[in-house]
Amino acid sequence: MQQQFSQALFSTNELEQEDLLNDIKGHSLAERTQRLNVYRNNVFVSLMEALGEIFPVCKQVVGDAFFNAMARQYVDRHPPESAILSEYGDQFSEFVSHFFAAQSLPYLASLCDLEYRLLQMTHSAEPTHLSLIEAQQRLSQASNPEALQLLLCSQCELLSYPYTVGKLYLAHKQPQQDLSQLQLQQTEYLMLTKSGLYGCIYPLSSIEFEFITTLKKNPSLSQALPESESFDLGQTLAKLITWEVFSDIYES
Amino acid sequence: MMTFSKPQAEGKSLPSGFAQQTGISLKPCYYEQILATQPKVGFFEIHAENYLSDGGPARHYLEKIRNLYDITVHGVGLSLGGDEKLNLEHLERVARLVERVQPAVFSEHLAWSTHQQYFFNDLLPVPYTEDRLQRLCEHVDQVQARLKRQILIENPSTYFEFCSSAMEETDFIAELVKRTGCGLLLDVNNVDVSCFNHQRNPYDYLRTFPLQAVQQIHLAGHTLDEKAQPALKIDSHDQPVTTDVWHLYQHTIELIGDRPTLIERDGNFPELSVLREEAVMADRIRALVKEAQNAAAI
Repeated sequence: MQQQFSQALFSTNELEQEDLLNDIKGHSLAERTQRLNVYRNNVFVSLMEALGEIFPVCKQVVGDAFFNAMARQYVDRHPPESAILSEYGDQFSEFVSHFFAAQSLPYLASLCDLEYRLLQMTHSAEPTHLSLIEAQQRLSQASNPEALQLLLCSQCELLSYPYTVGKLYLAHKQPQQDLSQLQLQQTEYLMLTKSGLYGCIYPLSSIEFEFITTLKKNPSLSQALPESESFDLGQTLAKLITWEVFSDIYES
Repeated sequence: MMTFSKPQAEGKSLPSGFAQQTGISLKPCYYEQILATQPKVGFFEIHAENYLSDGGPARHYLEKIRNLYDITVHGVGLSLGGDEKLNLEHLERVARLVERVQPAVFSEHLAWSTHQQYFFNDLLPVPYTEDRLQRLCEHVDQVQARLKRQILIENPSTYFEFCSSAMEETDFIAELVKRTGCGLLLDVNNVDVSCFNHQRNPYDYLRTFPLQAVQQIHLAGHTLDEKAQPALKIDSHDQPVTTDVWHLYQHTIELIGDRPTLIERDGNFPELSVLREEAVMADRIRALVKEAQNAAAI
């Protein structure tokens, strides 16, 4: 029965619904179909609403009608595989990148990817990190800066997008922001980390991105330093300390 | 591991617990206000599946609110009425939540929501047959064994009945209680919704319901789809409790005596004070019934 029911939820083909409809009490086929449709509607609407909560900025950017059309198709093709709805939508970005009507918005898939990662970051465990003061003390007390090991919290994610979706995301979180000057078609480097209870985004320059990527693989400061003269170590460390992304700082 | 202290019942003017005063659904939009104002309600109820993450605001605020109030945990994703084996990974996550929160009760539904690897996010109906009953009993036994506690099963709201059902819903539920020793969560709104949708009398339904096993009551609002032919009530949980449901609630506790009660709200959230007013209304009815029963006993 549940095989038929599952099929009927995702099919408008009466033949595929026939067995289930025959097992539903009702005076007419129309009545039986109407009763079944309450469940179909509940499933689709609740999952579309869930996607709207998981991708709120995408929904704001494209508008409710466009978003719901995309979400309905996604629900139809990719029903959740977990009862934990905050984990739903892991394939949404990929889906959006192939959604025909969204081809004129090439940044949309990147935006969805960013939103999904941010939400998962929010729901992840709070990392153990050095406070701003602790990190400052460790650095100032270092006797041999070349031997410094800078360990980043394991949650820190480094992302590079072909569009400035981080700026777009942040602008949508500030309703008064003027979006007309936003240059979307530009590579963007971001750090995602947890600030308090929530996932948050920090923009990086390409050279900072390179430095932190290396540091993530190998915490040795001297080995992570880029050769470029444009790199400002003091400024970059000041940012990272303020963002409280170090789990440990010590001299090897 | 996060641990919770027990609610403080004495010595401070904190709200009384689960049994004495009506509770309210716990939703993120109320977290800050609850902590700031500590409203006088008996308990808060959470949906298990919204509190299974390793961190973030849900876990943080639950811990803080648990330190002030009793909590009940209401599962919506175990799919106890399903054909297939329970998802053990999901059950483990729920069990860990229950161990952490130590809720006054854990409840789930007489419904299914998962098939193969897919979760449908709705409470889908089961036909009332011996096969289905046996499977449901196995699942309830399994959950009770893992959680090491009796669980409560909620009567469903349904939009159709199966021709293949071989017994009445109330007989099916009574047999479930008999075979598993589970308790029941009586959702009075579900009684009103289902009976309306199947042209039955809700008061007759209650007469045949195994009321002695009821350990908690849910009250919620619904919407009416008048365009449908016949019209259908939809268990939307996004409206105030209706007058019909209040009457049915009073009748229920006249039959079985006082029971812990929840004002359940899952959408179209009003000010917290509005839900609290509904909780006060439930408490008033509970007090009136108790008073009348005490007077009759004298």
